[in-house]
Amino acid sequence: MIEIGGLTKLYGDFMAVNGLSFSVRAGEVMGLVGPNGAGKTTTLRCLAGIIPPTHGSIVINGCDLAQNPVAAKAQLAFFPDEPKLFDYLTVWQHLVFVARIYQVENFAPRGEALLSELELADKRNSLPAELSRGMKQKLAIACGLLHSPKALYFDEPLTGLDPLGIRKMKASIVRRAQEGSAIILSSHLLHLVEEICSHILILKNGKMIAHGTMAEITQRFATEPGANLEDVFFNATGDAPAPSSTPTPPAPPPIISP
Amino acid sequence: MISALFFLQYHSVRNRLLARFKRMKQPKYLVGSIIGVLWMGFYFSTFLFPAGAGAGKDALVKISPEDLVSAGGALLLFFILLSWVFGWVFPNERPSLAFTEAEIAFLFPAPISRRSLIHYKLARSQLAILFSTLIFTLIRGRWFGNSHIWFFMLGWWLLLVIFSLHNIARSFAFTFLFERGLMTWWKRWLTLGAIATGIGAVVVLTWNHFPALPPDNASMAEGLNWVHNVFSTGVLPYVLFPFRMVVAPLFATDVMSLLKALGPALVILALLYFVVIRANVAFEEASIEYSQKIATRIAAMRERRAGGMVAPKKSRRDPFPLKSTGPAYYAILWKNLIQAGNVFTFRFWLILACFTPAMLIGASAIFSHNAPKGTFAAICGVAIGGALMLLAFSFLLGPALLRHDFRSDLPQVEIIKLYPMPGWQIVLGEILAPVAILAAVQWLLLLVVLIGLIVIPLGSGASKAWFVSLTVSAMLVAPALDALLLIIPNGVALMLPSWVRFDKNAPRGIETMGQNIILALGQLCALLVAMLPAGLIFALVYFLGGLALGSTVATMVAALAATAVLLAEAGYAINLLGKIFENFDLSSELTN
Repeated sequence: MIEIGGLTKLYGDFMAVNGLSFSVRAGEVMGLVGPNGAGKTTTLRCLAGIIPPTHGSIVINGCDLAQNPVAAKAQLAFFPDEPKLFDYLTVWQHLVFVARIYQVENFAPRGEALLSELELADKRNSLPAELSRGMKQKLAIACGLLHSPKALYFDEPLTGLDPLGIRKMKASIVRRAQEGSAIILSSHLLHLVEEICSHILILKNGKMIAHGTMAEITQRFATEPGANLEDVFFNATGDAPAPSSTPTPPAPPPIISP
Repeated sequence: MISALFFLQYHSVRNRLLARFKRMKQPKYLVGSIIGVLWMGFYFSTFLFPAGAGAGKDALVKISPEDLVSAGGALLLFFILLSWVFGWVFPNERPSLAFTEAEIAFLFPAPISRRSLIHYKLARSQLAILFSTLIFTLIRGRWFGNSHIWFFMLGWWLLLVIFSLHNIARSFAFTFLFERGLMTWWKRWLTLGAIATGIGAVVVLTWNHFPALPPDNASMAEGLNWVHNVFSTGVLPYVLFPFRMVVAPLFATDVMSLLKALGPALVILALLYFVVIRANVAFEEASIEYSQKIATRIAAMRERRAGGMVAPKKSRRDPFPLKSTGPAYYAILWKNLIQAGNVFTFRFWLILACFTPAMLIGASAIFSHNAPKGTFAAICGVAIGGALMLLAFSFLLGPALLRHDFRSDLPQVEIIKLYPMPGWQIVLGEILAPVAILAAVQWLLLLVVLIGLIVIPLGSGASKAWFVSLTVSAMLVAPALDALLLIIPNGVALMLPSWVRFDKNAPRGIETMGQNIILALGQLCALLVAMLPAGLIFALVYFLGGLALGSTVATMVAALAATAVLLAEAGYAINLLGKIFENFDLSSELTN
């Protein structure tokens, strides 16, 4: 579904992304992780066609993003960490606008369903300024899902969401994958990645350090049995925190019921 | 403690200046700086290079030093008085001791005395005051020569410092009154009433001594002298006495008069300083509230409110129903028309297009029977002249004012680049809204001109068919010309995005001034080049068509041909810009 070959992005002399090659098939959720400045957001922006890569190919569902950008973009959706909305369009006007841009015929029932699913139905005539941060995020998601994209990219999807929103977002991502979408998710929240991703790609300084299924990555980098993704991540990137010099406080005495 | 505050001040200024110098490594800022400095040098050359100022001196305002002292002082007095009254009646929401969020976070909880904080803010304000003094001195030097320039500088500095202290004192006074519940709205009206009564009393006491108005053909010096005489009449000299003391050093002509003027001004300064330092008013709360407001505004602007556009408070009607299928660029036109506001709906323009001619024709029917012929012609003349003037402004200023295109959407480019549309469609969609608005305004104005020309009693020589031909020709050419006029700034926004100001936080300074000069000249050249082929085609078709069809028809045919050329150019430019947009890399452009 998503096939990347030799993706490289240079800013002047600085290499933000260095020869990434991987693929994400329908139904897979790939977690893109790495320390700050690893090139995660740049990679996602290249994959979405927002910024042109310096070298390499990006193919979405058989359409080359460089050769046939219109067809490729029609099949993808990108959700940035900050929802980007137009101040002067209401919730429903956003959907009307996106429907025309993506040529979604008879979009109204699907739009209504999305608003209901995302609990925005009573906000259809509200402006973004009248929405909370989480609601704005939901509106951006509704706009992105209106045209039933085959490839979905999420950049820090849980930013600003409340606990219920987080649970729903996780469920929504998993459901889209089960429905046959290929999903790439970039996040610093390793427990989120561990929970919903089937595959992991670890980036550092623009280079791919590891790529594979969760089991493969754990097997390769875990130093002890039962290691979680956090341990695996630090082992892979070599950024393990130094052991604390302060002694661990003694455990509190157990509470004994009378 | 004071040393820490001065460390902060010194390093803030130093780092800001260093950042400015560093960005000059980029050619766009270096070239901008050179042009900016050259322009400033040229503008102030008569002052900065007095030896070469011979020609410039002739252009200087011809007022004798005595006139300048007396009348200029009176004029300045008037503005200061106005500003003083305004400041007390309509106090600014901004506290005079405004701190930034960082200053509040670091300084308010720190063991720093209140007095030190006030001194710190006073010291900080000196930078702006010194800069303003320099600018005022340069401007004065350009217009009035460079005699007594140091007196002038000292006078301005003193005036601005007194003003700054007075603003702080006034802000403290309002805070003091507010804390005691004395600043309800009716109290403010009471203040206004008291001031109005005072002004009324002064007018009554002065009325009988008022000097006669200067004649219609009076020179500027005579006019200023009249102002001076007014301020020397009746009780006004007593009322204005404190203000006179403040401005007196500005107009000192020799060392003795300067020293004489400095004394009272310094006494006022000392009094205000004493009030500010001694006032037991809590300024912290107002500062925190204000800094939070400012931070919210800045965050909102940085987030999305680009191009100075203010986020609407109410939802806006759709300009027209948008179906989910059809050319995708209509969606961008639709979106940008919503951004432009409710006055740009199709229904609004339909009503206006029907109402305006109906009103004009109705008015002409009434006036042509009842009013004298000369009056009716004058009314028509004013309507035509006004419409033509607005038409000229629409071409000159319209593209700069209507920015519902790339200039407001580029900060959202991350989303726009996701759209499955070829680049040319996005460019076309972006420029369509301002073109549609401008063309609608121009057509309406042309309609007013046409009706005015038809109904005006011009005598038998004027042909109505000729007027119709001219108007139709202008209506044909206008949208195509608007498209070209709007493609140029949009092209600049795409090709040199870091040269275009998207929000109020964009870099400022002499280099950005230089960039603006280059952009304005570049846009003018591009427009002239683009219009040349259309102008030539118009002339050729008009000449040849005139021979065969007569000038009335030939004008319209020539306009049609010129429109075709302009549209072809616009089409080519849109295609080119579309390709540029497809390869547009915002990450490497706007971060520079």
